[in-house]
Amino acid sequence: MARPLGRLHPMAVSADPVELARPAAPDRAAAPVRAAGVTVTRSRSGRLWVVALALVAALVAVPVLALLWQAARGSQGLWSHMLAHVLPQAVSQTAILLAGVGVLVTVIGTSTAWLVTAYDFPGRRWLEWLLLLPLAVPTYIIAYAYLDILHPLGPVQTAIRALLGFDSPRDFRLPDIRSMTGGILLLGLVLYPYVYLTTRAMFVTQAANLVEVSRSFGVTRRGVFLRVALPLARPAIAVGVSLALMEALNDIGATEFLGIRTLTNSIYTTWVTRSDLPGAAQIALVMLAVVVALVVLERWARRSQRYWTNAQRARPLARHRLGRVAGLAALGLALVPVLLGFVFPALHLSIVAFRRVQVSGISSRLAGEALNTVILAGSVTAVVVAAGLLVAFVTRAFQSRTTAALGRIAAIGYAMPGTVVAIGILIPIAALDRSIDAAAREWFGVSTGLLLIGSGAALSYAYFVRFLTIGSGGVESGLARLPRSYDHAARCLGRGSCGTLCHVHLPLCRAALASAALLVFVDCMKELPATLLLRPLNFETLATHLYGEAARGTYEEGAIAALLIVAVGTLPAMLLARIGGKPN
Amino acid sequence: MSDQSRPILELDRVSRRFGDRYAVREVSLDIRRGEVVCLVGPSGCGKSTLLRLIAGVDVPDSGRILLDGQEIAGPSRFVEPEDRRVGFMFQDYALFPHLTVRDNILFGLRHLPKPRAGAQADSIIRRIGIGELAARHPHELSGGEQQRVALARALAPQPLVLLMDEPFSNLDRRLREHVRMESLATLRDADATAVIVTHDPEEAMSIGDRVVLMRAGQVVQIGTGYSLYDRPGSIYAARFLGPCNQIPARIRGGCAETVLGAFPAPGFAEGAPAVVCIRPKALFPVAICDERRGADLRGTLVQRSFLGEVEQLTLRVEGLDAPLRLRTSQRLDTLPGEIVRFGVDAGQAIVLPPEKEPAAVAMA
Repeated sequence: MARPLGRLHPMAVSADPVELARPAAPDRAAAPVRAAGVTVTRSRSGRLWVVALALVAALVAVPVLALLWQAARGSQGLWSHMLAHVLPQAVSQTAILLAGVGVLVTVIGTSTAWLVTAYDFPGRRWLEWLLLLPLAVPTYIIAYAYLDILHPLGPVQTAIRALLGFDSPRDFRLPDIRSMTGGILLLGLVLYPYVYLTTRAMFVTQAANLVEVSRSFGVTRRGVFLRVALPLARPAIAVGVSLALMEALNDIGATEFLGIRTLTNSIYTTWVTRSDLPGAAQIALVMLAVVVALVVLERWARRSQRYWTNAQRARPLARHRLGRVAGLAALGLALVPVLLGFVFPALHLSIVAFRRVQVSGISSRLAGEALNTVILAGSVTAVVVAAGLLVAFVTRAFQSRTTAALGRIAAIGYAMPGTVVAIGILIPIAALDRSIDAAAREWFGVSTGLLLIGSGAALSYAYFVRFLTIGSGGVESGLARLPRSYDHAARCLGRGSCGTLCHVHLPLCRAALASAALLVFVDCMKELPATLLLRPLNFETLATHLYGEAARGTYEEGAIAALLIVAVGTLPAMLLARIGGKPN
Repeated sequence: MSDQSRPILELDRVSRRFGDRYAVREVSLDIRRGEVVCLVGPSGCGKSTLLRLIAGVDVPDSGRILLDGQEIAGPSRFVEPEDRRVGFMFQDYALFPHLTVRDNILFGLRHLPKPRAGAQADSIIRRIGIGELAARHPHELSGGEQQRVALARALAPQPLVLLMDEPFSNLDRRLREHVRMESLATLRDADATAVIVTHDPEEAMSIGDRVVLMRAGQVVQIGTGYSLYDRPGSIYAARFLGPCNQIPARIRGGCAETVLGAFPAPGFAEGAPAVVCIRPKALFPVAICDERRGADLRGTLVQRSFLGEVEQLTLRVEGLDAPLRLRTSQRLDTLPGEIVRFGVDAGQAIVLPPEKEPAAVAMA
């Protein structure tokens, strides 16, 4: 055999902390205790992988650390101004909004989920995935659409007046959508699918046994929902609600259009109109506290969920077939959120966009912005999926406390609202830009301006931080399906970590990579808050174009931009429907 | 190449700890070239961990592992699994689902020039007789076929040692026996050195040149299947390798005295307590072979269970707390509640010291 035995690693002897911590003599009492199942690698290649993971984690951690640093050195006077004038209103508005949206998504999400799992009625199969469609409509687009639909001179109010015989908006008008109630309703209509998804999954996989047992004890169907299914689904509901609330907290457009002054809006105005970065950072910190609370809620819920999913094997619930009238009523009821959250706004946008295109075509400006969006989202997606692959692979192949901790750090971005990430990035990047500019002027006599912000690097960085978890989570779910013996088999057959990744992992999780890429791409495309704060001068994406028009109150090509975003956004909703539609 | 008489694989006081629990504790073991060694023990006894340490997918906390005279794991060296020339066959076979059978086998031959790799793959495919499967994907194979492909893939790179983790446990009973003998023939044919992990003592005794019995991370006894079965060193070993009746005894005049008679017990201290292990097959109903050795004993029949090849009688014997199990291939017409006369084949009785409390596993 030509292959020499053992390419021994001289580096294995030294420099590795684990190795150094190990006593050379069999003095076991002093040896560090390792967690169960932890494999320590002492190869050089392993260390390179871990260093790469550490770099990714550091990139994600920088914005948070910058915020903490900024807050720590913030002046006392600023805080008192914040506490007196900005925070009370912003915090209370945010709290009311989150509470309202939380209740609304819980009610819509769980009731629709129960309806399509426990009952059978005409159109149920369609509804199962139609109910996901509002997920394709970003919060700022539903607000944008309904502002137009419900405008005193818009189609709805005009029709009502015509019906009731009023002549002018002065005689009759509906309550203004631009209110807290309006905000809660609109956000709830597009965010309930998070609760619907998680809760339905729970009902489908878990409820059958318990429901049948309780039925055999004589509990009515309604009783089963209240006394068995709801308590059972509580963890799933909590996960869904916390995800929905993270989205609500992240929203900048809808609240702005509807005149609700949340923490997010306060950050935006503090930075954009007052150029007060320390102030914005302090509000961002308050938001971070809210986010931590939501994450704690989600983690806690996931833990109890794991208990349930381990407890029983999945078995589908036998659906109760509803009669003709009850069935049509159920269909009508479940269609309400689909119609309000997707069909009406999408239809309205289509009509408006169609008219616009008929009259004046698509401007080259909008085409350019669409191209900007695709290029930006596409390039970030490539980077995010690659980094996500790195995170997922290293935490799998080199299991240790270090890699697990780094993996967790790399995942913190998903919960952070875009404004918080943006402010966290602005602090170091703006300073860096200034020093690059100063250095360039001193040495070459030219001003570079704001190089990193102006080139879009800062914006890409923000997307990276925010969406890395989607990338790594997607890859992880693909890798998790591969038994660990594949890895070991590949190693024992002479392939290193790189060879294992390229020849075993990659070909076997191509589908997971593709769906992760799709999710990241769509999220980048929809992103508004970070884009508003970090985009280079005169750089517009479809989302910022829409925001600009809505803020100015002009209605030109906004509907086309909105329609494009919604159209692309339906892709992941369909993907989710396909995954969720499989029996297991 | 180093000298041929030296063991191909040497384990020198190897330990692996998870938290404060030892999975493998101070295990020393030599394995000779061409030998088939079975690691056997109940689940959680550390046998699979030991295999993973040899393969290099896990790292020992202390001790050294030498392969072909070179240290592959120890305080100063660690050779990555891909550099060890150790084959591993997994319980779930771990065949790569995206590759055909032939490509699975070629996977481990990348270090060879293409034509040579192809020739080597074809030769193993021919030897194991899986030619008609070569173009298929793993999901198109039956359990037995997957097992053969996994064996072929592990043997293809001609590893110095082949490690097999429960290689037959995924097969149904009837197939298992056949595949086991076929695999053993393949190993012999390839002159391979193999370490096989199993929880099934019969499997271990039937295929292992030597059997290593483990318990709580430690080696309890090493020997051929015969020596382990016939001369177990402890009650644990006796009980693990097959059913046995434990009869309390006391040493008097060089014999272990029991309710069932006295058995020679050289080397035991006078007056010490002891246990006599008697396999159910070493007991026989007296009516049918009264001229064989052994006292004429009586017991009340409690239960009969028909196992097919043999029948097990459960007897209640005066002076014994536990019921006695007797296995015979004779058909009796005794009914439960009636008296059975039986004898003991004294040559098969094993006198052992009473079992101590199992050694403390956790660290002090």
